[in-house]
Amino acid sequence: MKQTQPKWKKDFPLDHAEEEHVSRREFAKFLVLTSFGLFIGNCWIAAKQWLRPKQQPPPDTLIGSLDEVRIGEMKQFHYPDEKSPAILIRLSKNELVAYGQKCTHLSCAVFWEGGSKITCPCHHGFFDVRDGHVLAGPPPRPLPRIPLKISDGRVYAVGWEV
Amino acid sequence: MKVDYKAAQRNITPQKRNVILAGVTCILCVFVIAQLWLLTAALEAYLAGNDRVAVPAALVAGICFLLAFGLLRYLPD
Repeated sequence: MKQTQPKWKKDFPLDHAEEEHVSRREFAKFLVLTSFGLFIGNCWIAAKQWLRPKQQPPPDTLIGSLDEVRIGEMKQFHYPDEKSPAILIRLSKNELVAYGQKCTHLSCAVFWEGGSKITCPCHHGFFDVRDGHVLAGPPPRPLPRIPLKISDGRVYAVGWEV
Repeated sequence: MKVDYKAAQRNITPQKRNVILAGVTCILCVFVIAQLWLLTAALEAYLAGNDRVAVPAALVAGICFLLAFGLLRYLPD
């Protein structure tokens, strides 16, 4: 049986499938537009970096006396400001290392409980205690390292190395 | 008499248009994926305080965009 078209279809001759059809040419143009957007995003990051004020090196800060940290122990302190927790680790009599305490994954506090690894308990990230590089787990970057200076039996934090 | 060589070529190999369109689309996809990777790498480096990545990444992303834009000329009608 032949179906006749309703009269309104003649007045509005729009085909739904044709309306939603995206040609390959249109798709290619959309890809170029996306490419332009990504280029603008990259420029935005470069501009943000260019406008970012150059950070002055943090001043030397007294962490404590050498006697406060026994061999194989960890001491918590704040550096370079009060909102930035850090840890000082005494590995041997003359070997001390210090790192920012925020994990580079999601900023959980990292801990050292002896051995060769600093541990982030949140997602099982592990860092080398000697230089802070990532041994395992999700952290994408090493821990920020804090250079130390020992003078007259006192330990000073003298910088921040990302 | 003027001979339309382009039309003749199109008629003799009708599949060519398809191949060119598919090739251009694939190359554009590669550019976009590379730029996406550059953007995430630049953002990651910026947040980590590394100042050496953002500008070269922006330059390469710009080159990718220009190449992608140039490829549009080769899209068949």
